[in-house]
Amino acid sequence: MAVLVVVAGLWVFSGLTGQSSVHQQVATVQAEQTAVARPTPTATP
Amino acid sequence: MGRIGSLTLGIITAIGGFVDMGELVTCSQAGAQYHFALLWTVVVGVLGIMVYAEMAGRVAITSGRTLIDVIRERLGWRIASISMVVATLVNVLTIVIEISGMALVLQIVTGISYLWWLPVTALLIAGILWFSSFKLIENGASLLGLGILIFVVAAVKMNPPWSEVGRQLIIPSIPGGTGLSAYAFSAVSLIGAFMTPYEIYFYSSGAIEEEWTGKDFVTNRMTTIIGFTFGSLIVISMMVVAAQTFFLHGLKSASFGSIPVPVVSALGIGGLAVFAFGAFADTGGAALEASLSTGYSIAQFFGWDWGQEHNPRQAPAFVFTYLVAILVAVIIGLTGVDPIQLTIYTTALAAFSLPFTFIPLLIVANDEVYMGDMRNGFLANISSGFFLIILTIVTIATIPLFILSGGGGG
Repeated sequence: MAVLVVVAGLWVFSGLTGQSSVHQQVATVQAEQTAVARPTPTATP
Repeated sequence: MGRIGSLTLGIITAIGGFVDMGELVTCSQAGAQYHFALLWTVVVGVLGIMVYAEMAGRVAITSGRTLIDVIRERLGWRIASISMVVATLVNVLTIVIEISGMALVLQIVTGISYLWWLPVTALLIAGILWFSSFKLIENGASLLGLGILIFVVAAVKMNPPWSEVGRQLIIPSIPGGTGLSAYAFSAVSLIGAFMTPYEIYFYSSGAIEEEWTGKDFVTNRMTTIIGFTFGSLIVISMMVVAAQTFFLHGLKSASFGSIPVPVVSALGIGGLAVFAFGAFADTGGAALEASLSTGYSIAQFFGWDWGQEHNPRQAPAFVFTYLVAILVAVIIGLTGVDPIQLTIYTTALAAFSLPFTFIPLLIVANDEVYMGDMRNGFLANISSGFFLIILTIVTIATIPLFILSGGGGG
């Protein structure tokens, strides 16, 4: 029983931290936030 | 448990049980697509469900009978059959979206397609209903579902312009460049998500299951007012964090996996774990309640023995009814119908169906023979009449809006 719980726990942990669609979307959001926070430098003559 | 303890538990479970798949999907999409412009629907929907749930509880306490039972006797079987059939249709679709919600959470956590998890979640719901008492079902899922408060934490962390949030809660607005029919259809879906019929049937039957008496009028009123008010904070937060995360960056909330994205952005992987736990419990709780509501409304209409406190062998037709409803739901889910789109259609259908439950309830709540001194007062009639007018407009508008907006897609 304890082994099953540990295996299930590891499975869930790897699912939560793995490459799910959630993390892909979070990465997109964070990229957008970074782009907004860092304005494009204007060219100087 | 003392009266104060029971009241506190009632309020906490009303908060924890407030969110289901309907709110998860519609609030996320509304925030992403319309920023804060649909926040006003929370006020309309939550006040509306507050008024009618309190009324359903009061009718159950005063008459000692459930809603469909009283409607059948007071208004005849024809009217009662319309209420029962419409509610059953919406209830079964609600079971489909809720077990799909549970399966989609498991998909996020395990990486295995939700279609594999659908039969598992359906079996889990059937098993819990078979073996558990009413109190365990009502309180267990709702207490575990408090994890969904993580949206409130995320909203506080994001620190949105709160004055703007407050303004849009009270004053409806339409963002520029938006198709009016798609915006209106989203408003209808949100109102349907906040005021789903199963909530009324479950609440009414729950009052009988828990043997509420005249001493429980305060519990009834406090549970609906305080519980639903705090519950509304969760859905406001869900809409706000989606608005701040998606709308401001020109992104969309297009899948179930989009819903926790604002929480993960604000709070990291721990936020995702709490979301998964809370969302699984909330959708599971709603699946349990919608399944029971299907059994309640059909069994009460036909006058069969019913009740979760019975041994399944003592109320076989009641148990058979909700098991068939779950089976039908899992078959619909396994056809591969998009659960997100189905959620939007189901919540719109729920909004469409509300007057079929609320008009008979309003008539009964005003009947001196059934209600005596506890019949609706001036304030209850004014507020319920106001919401009924809104809901009737919603009912008339739902189908044309559905067509004009191309199924809500604009």
